[in-house]
Order: sequence, then structure tokens, then C-alpha cells
Amino acid sequence: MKERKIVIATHGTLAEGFRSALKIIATDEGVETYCCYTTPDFNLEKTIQTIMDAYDEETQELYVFTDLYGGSVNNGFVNALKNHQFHLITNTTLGVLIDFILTNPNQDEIETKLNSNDFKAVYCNTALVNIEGIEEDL
Amino acid sequence: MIKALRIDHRLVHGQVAFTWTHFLSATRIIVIDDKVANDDFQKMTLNMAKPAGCKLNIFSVSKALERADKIDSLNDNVFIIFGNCKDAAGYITGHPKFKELNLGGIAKKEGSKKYGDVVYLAPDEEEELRKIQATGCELFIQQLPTTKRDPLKL
Repeated sequence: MKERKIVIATHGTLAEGFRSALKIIATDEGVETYCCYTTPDFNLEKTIQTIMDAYDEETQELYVFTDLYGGSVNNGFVNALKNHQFHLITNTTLGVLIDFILTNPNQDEIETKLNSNDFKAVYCNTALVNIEGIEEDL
Repeated sequence: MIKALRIDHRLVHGQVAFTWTHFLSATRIIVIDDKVANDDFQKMTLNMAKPAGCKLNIFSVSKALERADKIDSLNDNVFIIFGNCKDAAGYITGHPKFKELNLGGIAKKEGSKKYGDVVYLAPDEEEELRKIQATGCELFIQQLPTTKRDPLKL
């Protein structure tokens, strides 16, 4: 089986923020983070090239998590899909990352999970009222 | 069967709902906490926090003790969470059958001593934990399955 490689790339220091949260809740082992546009000379193409140069498609399987669908960081990685074989997930939430790290899902499972309600933003006020199935006993 | 017991003042939260539940393959979480068992709003919030596909019960110590044998013999992989040392001691001394208890998070308070990054014990809590130790139950501090396990030295 190929070695799984995880990259988190975001606008600003959100990626490091994800790492900090992962460290508390699960683990940040094996996670690479890229905080984009935090310096004036930041170059997205170069950064992506560096990631792809270090990625061995023969022995590794790369999963890239970005912050925003339609944002430049994700757009940059979408372009890279033309020449490189890797998985790209965007609109990443902490829940998606934790679940991915802990359960090691295959491609089908990832798609199913991302399409489920488990990782969507939730309006808690209504959710709380609609809670069902509190078990009063065993 | 019972997979693990933990004291965690945050009850069901990220570390518990995701990481420990996954690590233990828990299918049922039982919260034993007198205060929460009598607070309908907090029961609702815990139900919101429970992991997908996992059952949740919230019992007072006395209600849990009445069901202790049944809890032991459940087919589920059970993860028991106590909100504080007193309720943990109440259950474990009333049903002294456990080999070990994990101290997850116990909040800092006036007069408490630091035992770990997130474990602070006041004298009355130390006393409760001694009662648990006296049943032959080993106490250890561990935040996550992947972080180090330190035996508690009172």
C-alpha cells in the first residue's frame, strides 16, 4: 500500500491553526502545512511545484486539503491536477481533517462522507430543538 | 463490554467524541454525572455532541449503580465518562470491578495542585481518587491515545 501524505494549504495561517487544533484533538503527525500569502513574496505556483517535486506518485498517495472552493489556493491546486495524480479536497473543516486522519478512508468513503450531513456547517439553534432519541435507559 | 473509563470535566467533546471513541471502537458512551443527569438542557447538548453511530446514556451515580451489572454485560463497546472525581469515586467504590481509570481533564481551581497539563486536583479530589485507588483501580493521566500515559502519583 502507498504511503499517505497529507498537505493542508490555506490563505493565511489557518493551516497552522488546523494543525494546532489537530494536535489537541487527534494528532498532527505526518501533516504538512502551507500558510499562503503570509509574506509579500509568496508564490503559489512555486509552492505547489515544491510540493509536487517532493511527491513520489509511485510510492505515495497525496491528499491536499484547502480552505475555500473558488479561492486562489484551491484554484492553484486544481491547475496542478492537470499534470499530477493526487486527491484535492476543499472547503475543509476540522471535522473532515480529524475524520480523515483517524479513519484512513478510501476514495469512495471520502466521497460518501463529504456528501453526508456529518461535516456540514450546522445552525445549532434549530439542531438543538430537533434532537431526537435521547435514551433514558439502556 | 467496558472498554475504558475516564474523568473529563468537558464530558463529551472533541477528544472524546472523535479520537477516543474511534480508538476504542466505542458503540456506547455512558456519562455518569449527578449534575448533568438532572439538567435537561445539558443532556440535549451532549446528545448533539455524541459521535455518529454511537449510543449515549446519561445517568446519575445512583441510577448507574442500579444498572452496573447490566452495563458490564452489554454487547456494546462501552466508554464510561465521569464529569468529576466525586461521581467517579461514587460509582467505582460502589461497583469496585475496574482495573484502571483515565484522568482526561480536571479543571484548575482554587487550592488545586498540578498533576498534568490539564489535570489539577484539589485536596478533596485527591481524597476521592484515593478511594478509587483503594479498590485496586489504577489511575493514569493520558490526553489522547497517541500521547504519553503517566501513572498518577498522589
